[in-house]
Amino acid sequence: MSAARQVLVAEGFTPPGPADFELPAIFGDSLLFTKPALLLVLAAVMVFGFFLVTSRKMAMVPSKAQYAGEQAYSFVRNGIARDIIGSHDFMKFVPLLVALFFFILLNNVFGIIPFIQFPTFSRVSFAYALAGLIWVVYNGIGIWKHGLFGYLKHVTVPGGIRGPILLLIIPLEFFSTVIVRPATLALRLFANMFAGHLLLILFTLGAEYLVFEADKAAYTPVGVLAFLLAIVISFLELLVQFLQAYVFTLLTAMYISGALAEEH
Amino acid sequence: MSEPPQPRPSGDPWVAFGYLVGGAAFYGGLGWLLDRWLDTSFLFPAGLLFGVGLAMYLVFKLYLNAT
Repeated sequence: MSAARQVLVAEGFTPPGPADFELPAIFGDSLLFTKPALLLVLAAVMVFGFFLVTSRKMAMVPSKAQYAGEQAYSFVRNGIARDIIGSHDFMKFVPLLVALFFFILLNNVFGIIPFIQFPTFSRVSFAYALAGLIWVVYNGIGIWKHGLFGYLKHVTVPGGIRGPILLLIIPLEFFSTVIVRPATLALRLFANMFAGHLLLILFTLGAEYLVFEADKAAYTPVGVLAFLLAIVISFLELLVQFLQAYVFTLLTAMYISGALAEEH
Repeated sequence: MSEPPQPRPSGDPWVAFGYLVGGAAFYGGLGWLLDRWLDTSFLFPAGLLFGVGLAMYLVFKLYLNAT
């Protein structure tokens, strides 16, 4: 324990930790329905509602809402789906990728929206579930495209390598594509959201403590500074939240494109 | 093929990371299991190094092929 931390603990400040992410049940004792679960549903409803409202009255001269919806849609359609999967096959996967991107984005941005302030994917199980879904999707596409054994060969035999070394490489390739890939997909999203939220809790709780609870008057300006920094970090978090939603969708598109590819 | 050139499918920059972790985990795990079975202690680190080495070979091979 460092000296600074010892001082703070002695004065009664409890540093935030992983326990701050374990939120109580909303109804009764059932831990099936907690705040992140509620946020997950809220995000799904909001994404659905947004695209419903913006696409309901389609007009040649778009209204502001329709324009916003179309911009959002074509950002993912052209910027991710078409660029990565290629102009031949991409349309089939646009609904998945658009829904995925805005669903994750909203869930992440919940982390800095006042009174909500919790990024859903800072609970790792949600990130695992989402990555599991993507895992089923891209492996399913690969099996549908190449057949089960064709796909197994596709993911385990890298192009350009011949000879007995393949015997050593096949398990490695299988391990890295089938097991490591979904795990990194989930952990990257989770860890970014977790760390960002923890940082925000630390700065805001620290500011609150220094201003209102520490006895020394000299701590007050430090607390105010910490609070200002919390606001700055919120903007940094907005960037991270957007970036993580983008990266997750981008990698999903890459995995789909890899499963569809004829040759490595 | 009259289509415009499509981006390379294996453009995932995390593929190298996947190989390294996968190599260490798979061959390290194999070494660990053999260690338990044969009652030795050197196969776990040996497997770990072998797995990482193999992964690096693979990464170099793929990236050199790509350029």
